[in-house]
Amino acid sequence: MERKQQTALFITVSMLMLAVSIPLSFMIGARDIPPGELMDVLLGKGGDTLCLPILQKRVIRTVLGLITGSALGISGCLMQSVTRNPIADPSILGVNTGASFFVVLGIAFAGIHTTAQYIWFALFGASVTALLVFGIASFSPGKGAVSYNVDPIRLALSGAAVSTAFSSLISTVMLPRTNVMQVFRFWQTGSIGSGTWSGILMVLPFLMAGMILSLVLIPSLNVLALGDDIALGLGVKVTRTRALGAMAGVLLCGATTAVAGPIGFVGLMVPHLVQVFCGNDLKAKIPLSALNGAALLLLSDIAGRIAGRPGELEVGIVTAFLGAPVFVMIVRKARVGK
Amino acid sequence: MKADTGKTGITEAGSRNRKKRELRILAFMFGIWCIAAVFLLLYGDQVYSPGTVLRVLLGEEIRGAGYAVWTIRLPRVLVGTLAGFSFGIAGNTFQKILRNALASPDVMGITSGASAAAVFAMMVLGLSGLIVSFMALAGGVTVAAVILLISQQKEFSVNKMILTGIGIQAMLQAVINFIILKTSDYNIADALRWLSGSLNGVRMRDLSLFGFIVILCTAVILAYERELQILGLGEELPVTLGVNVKGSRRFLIYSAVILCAGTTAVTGPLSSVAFMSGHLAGRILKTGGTGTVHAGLIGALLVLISEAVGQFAFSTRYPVGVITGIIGAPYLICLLAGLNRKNG
Repeated sequence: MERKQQTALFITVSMLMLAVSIPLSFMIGARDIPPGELMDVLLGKGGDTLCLPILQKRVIRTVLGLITGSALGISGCLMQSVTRNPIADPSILGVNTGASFFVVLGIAFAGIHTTAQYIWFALFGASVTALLVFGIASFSPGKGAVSYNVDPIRLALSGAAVSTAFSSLISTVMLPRTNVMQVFRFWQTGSIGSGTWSGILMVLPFLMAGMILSLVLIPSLNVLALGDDIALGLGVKVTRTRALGAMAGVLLCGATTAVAGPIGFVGLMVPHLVQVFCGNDLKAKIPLSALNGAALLLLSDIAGRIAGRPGELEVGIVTAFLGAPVFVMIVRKARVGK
Repeated sequence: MKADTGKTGITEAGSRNRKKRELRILAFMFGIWCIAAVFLLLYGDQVYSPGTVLRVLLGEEIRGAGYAVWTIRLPRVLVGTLAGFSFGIAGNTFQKILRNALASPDVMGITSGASAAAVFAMMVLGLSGLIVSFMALAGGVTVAAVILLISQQKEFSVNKMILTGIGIQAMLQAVINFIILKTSDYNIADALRWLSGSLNGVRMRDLSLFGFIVILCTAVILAYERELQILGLGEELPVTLGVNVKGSRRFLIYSAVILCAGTTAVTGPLSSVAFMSGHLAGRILKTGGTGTVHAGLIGALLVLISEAVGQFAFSTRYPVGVITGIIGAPYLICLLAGLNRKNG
């Protein structure tokens, strides 16, 4: 009973946060739009001529924030449950660096410069890196078999290793080419400020596919959490569920990275937060991760707009500062091998 | 080589043999170092004969050669050697104390701390020169202190410490990316070159202070050699053997951190040198020694050889840190695969 109340309270609070953050996101920025003026513009009663274009920009930004936030929340939730690992997150596992590397390759050698082109490179990079990191972490040469119960530390270390590798390769490609550097550095810090409707429409199918897939997988993943043997006994196709879950996770974070650049730690923080209040059932965890991911990303973005005045702090840096302490806390609590 | 297998390892003769073997390896590595150093002094945009270089080094004024050797090549060789040496020792010390080949300062984010502080000083505050180096040093030490503080629980867990380091590194990377994003177009190439670790632009006058720090910290680590060796044995044994675990661990770690951060301040983060040298030294020696000096020499070798490769092997000149990073990544991956085999 108490749990149910707690859950209900948590849902109400998250809804409220989201409800508050959306109008705030419309209002706050380099030029604030006070509530009265906002209403005027929204109702078509005129107001300052400057407000309309600013507002159009901020609407795009808000929508992008909502989409990427919920995608990252679900993605983190999926990765943690598939790898059975509390610290799985695209920024820790090096998936972001991998996506970055392929985008750099694209910018340098294929001359790509639009979101539509970034997405394929980012998605490909994210999938390759995820496979690589998980493969290295679970590969044991003597045994031949691949075990899925990977130690958190092994996973994090292979993430770090792959990340180092890709950063060196990025430097190799980028250092002789100043023009690539100029394009890339604007992409490298995650931001939702430079989105466009066409960009959002471009990634939407991928995100929808990822989200639907994750919803479909909830029952099987829930059973999988009981352990591979039990899941097998209950008729769950363990390997297929895992592969599909990982695919959905990579799809979500890869598409997000393509449209907003690498935004770390959201996927890490949100599922843990949700878990504290609502337990481990993915039926509640995945939708709530989406909800809270959206709220967290939007609030971080607003905080960045306030903190960085007269300019702004990109949301990627805000989430990094929020996320690192949370990560440390998770590590402290986690059961890690000796 | 055969002498240190089997029982001979614990007899007096075995110990003597081992010492001899360690010295032989040291001499061999020093030989390679000499070759690399001489190569880097002779070759460049202009190739000088050994005689010319020697005359220049002895103080003779030769137009062109004098400038190239004294201002560009010699500082590069000396700073490269010192940098590799100190990264090697720092990595080795970390790995020995934490008993984990992956627990080197570059994997744990200490170099990133120094880099982030240096980039902040250069790009945001517009500083240059010595003050940047001090900020880098402070950045590295701060990160190390934070990691140590955080991982100080009832029982000391190396793995948690490494994980904490990786998390902090991810954050620092975001900070670095952010600073690069906000930098003016004019400075961006410089910032990136420094961030990938480079020996270009090092001067003779950097050498004295840098050398002093390296020698001082190395001396401290060598003085604590016995504690270092015993700390490598495990959590309980050192207590039995009368070693002040917490105190000597802290002393050693901070010396290594200062080495590492101080070097990063001068050359930028030479990716992977720290963790490769310590591990390689252990592999080559195969004995119970700490291999501090060996690791240092291997580090110096790695840096000089990578520098030669970066300068001459490709059509573009790459800074040395890019080359060491590219060597280091597959090395780290193989190491991980190997560790998995050991741990099942």
